[in-house]
Amino acid sequence: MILTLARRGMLAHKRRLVGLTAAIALGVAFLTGTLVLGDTMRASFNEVFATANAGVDAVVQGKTITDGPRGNEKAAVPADFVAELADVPGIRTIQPTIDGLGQIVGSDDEPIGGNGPPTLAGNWISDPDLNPQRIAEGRAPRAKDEIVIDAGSAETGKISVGDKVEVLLPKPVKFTVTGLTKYGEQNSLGGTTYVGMTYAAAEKHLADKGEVSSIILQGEEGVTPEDLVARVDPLLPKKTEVITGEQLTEQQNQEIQGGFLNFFTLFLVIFAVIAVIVSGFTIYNTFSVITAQKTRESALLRAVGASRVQVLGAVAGESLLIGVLASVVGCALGIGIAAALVEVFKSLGAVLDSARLVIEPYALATGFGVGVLVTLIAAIFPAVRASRVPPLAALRDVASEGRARMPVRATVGALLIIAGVVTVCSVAWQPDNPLPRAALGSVAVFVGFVVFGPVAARPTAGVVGLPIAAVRGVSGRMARGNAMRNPRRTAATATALMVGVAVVTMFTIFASSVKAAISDNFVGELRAQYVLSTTNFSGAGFDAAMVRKIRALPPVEAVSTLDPASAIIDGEPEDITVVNVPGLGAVTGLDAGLTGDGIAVDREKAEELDLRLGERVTFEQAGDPSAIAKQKRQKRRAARAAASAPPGTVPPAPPPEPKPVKVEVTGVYPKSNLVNGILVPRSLYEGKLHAADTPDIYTVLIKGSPEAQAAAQRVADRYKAGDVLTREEYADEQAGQIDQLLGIIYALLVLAIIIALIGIANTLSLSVFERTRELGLLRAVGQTRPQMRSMVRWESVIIAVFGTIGGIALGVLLGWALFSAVAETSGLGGSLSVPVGNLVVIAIIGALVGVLAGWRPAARAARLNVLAAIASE
Amino acid sequence: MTTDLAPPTATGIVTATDVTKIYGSGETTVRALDGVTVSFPQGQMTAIMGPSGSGKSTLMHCCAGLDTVTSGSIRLGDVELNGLSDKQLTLLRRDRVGFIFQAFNLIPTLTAKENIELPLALAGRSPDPEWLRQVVDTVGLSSRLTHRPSELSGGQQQRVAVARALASQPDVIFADEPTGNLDSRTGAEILDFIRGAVTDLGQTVIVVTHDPVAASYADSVLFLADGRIVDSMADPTPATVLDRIKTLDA
Repeated sequence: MILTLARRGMLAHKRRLVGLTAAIALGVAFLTGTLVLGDTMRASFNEVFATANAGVDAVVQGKTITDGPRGNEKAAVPADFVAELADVPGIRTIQPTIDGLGQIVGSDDEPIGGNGPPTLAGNWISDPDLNPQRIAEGRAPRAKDEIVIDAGSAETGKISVGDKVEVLLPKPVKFTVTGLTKYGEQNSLGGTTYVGMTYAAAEKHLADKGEVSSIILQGEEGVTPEDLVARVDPLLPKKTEVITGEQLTEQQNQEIQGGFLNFFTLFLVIFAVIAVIVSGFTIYNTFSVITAQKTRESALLRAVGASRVQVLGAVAGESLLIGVLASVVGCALGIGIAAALVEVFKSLGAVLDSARLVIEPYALATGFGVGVLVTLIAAIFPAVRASRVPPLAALRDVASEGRARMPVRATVGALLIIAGVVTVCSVAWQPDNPLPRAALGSVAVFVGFVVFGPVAARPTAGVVGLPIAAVRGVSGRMARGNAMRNPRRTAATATALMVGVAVVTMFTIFASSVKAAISDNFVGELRAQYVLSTTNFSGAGFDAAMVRKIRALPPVEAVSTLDPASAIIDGEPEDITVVNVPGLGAVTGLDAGLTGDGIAVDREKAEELDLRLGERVTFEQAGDPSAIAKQKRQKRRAARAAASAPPGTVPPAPPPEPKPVKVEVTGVYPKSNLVNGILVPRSLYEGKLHAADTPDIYTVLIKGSPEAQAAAQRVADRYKAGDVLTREEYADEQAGQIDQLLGIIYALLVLAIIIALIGIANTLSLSVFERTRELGLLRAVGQTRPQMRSMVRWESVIIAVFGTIGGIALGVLLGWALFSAVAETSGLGGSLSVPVGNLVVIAIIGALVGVLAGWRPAARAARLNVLAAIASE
Repeated sequence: MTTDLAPPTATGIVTATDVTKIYGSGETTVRALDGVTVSFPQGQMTAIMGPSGSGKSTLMHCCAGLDTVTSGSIRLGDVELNGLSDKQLTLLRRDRVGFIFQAFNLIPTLTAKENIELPLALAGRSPDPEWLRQVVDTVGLSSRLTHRPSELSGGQQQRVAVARALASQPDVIFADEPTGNLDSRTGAEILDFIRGAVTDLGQTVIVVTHDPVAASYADSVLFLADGRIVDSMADPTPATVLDRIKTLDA
């Protein structure tokens, strides 16, 4: 019986049903689509790795040493281990690999790729079992100056077999292209570019001397991968490991999932959650209005003997039906969205052409479950409230507009907001765990805003409505009155939009503050006028020779590189900045007291590590242990050779063993936002440590006149190193990257705004329906249709502007919380920057949402049949 | 049957000529008005009476420009209503017609004063302050002008409605059961105000009612049955009206 009521209730209001379903379905679709897309990409990568490792029985590779600033780094494998493996029984193939980065320069003299996916280079492996790529045209490289490149790059760079091309390694090197490779049927894999060269060439250009990236092993007939691993394992050099091909695939999957894919999916899921929250508020609000309107119906049910539980059951049943229906639609829509996105990704080469949509049951279950649950929860609260009304009171009372307990609300809401703000403030005073505390404060502020909404609704709508009432005459006055008459409903309607606007505002403020901080750091503190920074995102740095040449130019006054890296100081990993001692003071204005042998720390770091000027610390390069291990092995071997050598011969002296060096703190400098807390001279690497492991050069700062810029540009052009920018241009370029990211975020948030729009439209339609009699009266006494439309639309605008104001206020607080936390953790510094212009644009968009949301309800109101409206009750 | 209530010298402000109103089609056709011809004299109060379904409300709606006729002609002053667009009818109602309904007369979000001025405000006209004061005084609302409808009693709400109908100095006021929701004492008060508007201010009022007491305030009464005018009566009293209704019902 109760279910029948629920079903009838649902079918009786098809229009309302459509609005509700749309709101829920959009949220569910976004969530499901995100999950399906993530799974599909994961499967595609899985397939890539599985294919690549198909013929690999086992592999010897370096252990992961550190999560450096540019991703995790693996130790290298000593090349002489290849020879040692030859003695191990049961190995059919030993194939060393050398992997690195190399950017191909196209026939138009422009470097190809490098704006995201890596520009790979390596030794060409001709065994098709060990190499997923095949040569589609031409032949494999045979000489040191021959290479194969991927067909995708050949097409982009208009390069044909037989052409001479330059490859940035990062030093420009000329090669002859002897062949084009394809990855299965694809020209290239996921936007990567590829250069394959001979082993000798790879050894020369890509590897540090005596090191390879990994050694691929194939066992003889009857030798299992596990056998191979067991045999090789006892012989392993330090910091290396041997694993089976299957384990390798698993590891590669883990790596890509731990990195890019997880980040990508999490990023999308965050926005899906925002969309779901917004639709939750929309549903809650719609059900609130419906329940209010059905109070009499429920009271009648109660009067004829239905229990409270039964009445609640009817509501729960109705919401369950709607939730199930909408979630099914949402899941289907989500699969559609994912399918469309996968096609887009295929065309970008980010997903294999052969990839099939992976629809895991959990993805559907999550979308479906969240949709149904959110609907149920959002519906049950207003129903419980309504069921508390004694049946007879409800039957008597025509006005179904409940009064909120405003004083309680006001107190609780205000306290939450204050508590949240104080929590966020405390991040600046007490910098432990800034992120969790900022998050906690943000949640408190957010809940406070939602609770406080109905209290603020009447006065805010009143103020917002004043100019409208003044300009739009009586229609404006009535719009204002309507927006103020039920503050709880106005607030709930506006909340959905508030959430969307708050997130938009938060990111806008955050981005603008980060941009301002970057710009301040660079333009404000930097003494160098010019910056040459790699535009290559794939991890390749500059050739050190280029920096030397720029430094030698007559008009150039000073040059320093400025590159973040990590190192192990007294056994603890620390963020450092690698600099050139001679130029540092001139380009940064820092008087760091660096001599070239020691390091410098800023005051904050000195306090943290309890370091004083002149004290000594042990210093290890983060990526260095492999080198140490290699030296130890060489020493052992030298000792063995000496023992077995015939008497009289002099054994070769073992090379000196580079220990973690003791270095002096030669300078303490004031904290600067330009660099990390520890400065390490590049010369320290080149002198005392393993020179080849010097961190890559990404940023070169140049002090000098405009002639210096022109001269440096000429050198940079020879190395295809991009443009020498003024520091202002450089700051703008960095800002541009943030703007791009912001653009993507905005695009994702459009969905939340659309759901909020549906919510406002839904509530207004219901309000219009509720006020039929009143609207009929207005028409009878002479309100024209345009006047009525204008009245409803302006009401919608007032509600939307109320939500937008709340959203901007909330967003400013959240943006401030996010920025203070991030500024604290990253040491970015700077202060909050509120872009007033952008906020005005957001406010205008909020008002436009109101106009759009009010469009259909206004049209429906204007279409009312006057006579029927007057007669209705 | 043709009835001319106006004395030969007076002009009818609202004139219906051979008006027919048919609802629905086929089997379910209802003739709400069936060849009604009537002229309501200016400066007088006329009551329309009749049993439920007699067409009295339909006649009022058609004369007031709220509904359109199937055939025949309705003239309000010098304007022929037949063929006017929705917009023209709306403006006509706003500028030349006043309304008093049985209930839900007022906009809950507007104060008493704003409700009174509503038709003028919708027209973008500012009210004549002298006239407004006179109207407000007449209905005795001066102290209640800033109150919202929810803060007013039922009688006060109807007085605001009367004041609103008078405020724009319309050609004619239509009152649809104006005392239907009030107790008899409050109802009498409202009827006194309406009567006063006719006698003292020269307002034309057409009131639809089934209450003989209310009808007795009118200068004349028109009786409808089955969509036709069946009788009329000048200078009615509650007793004479009640008598006539009994014979009509019989």
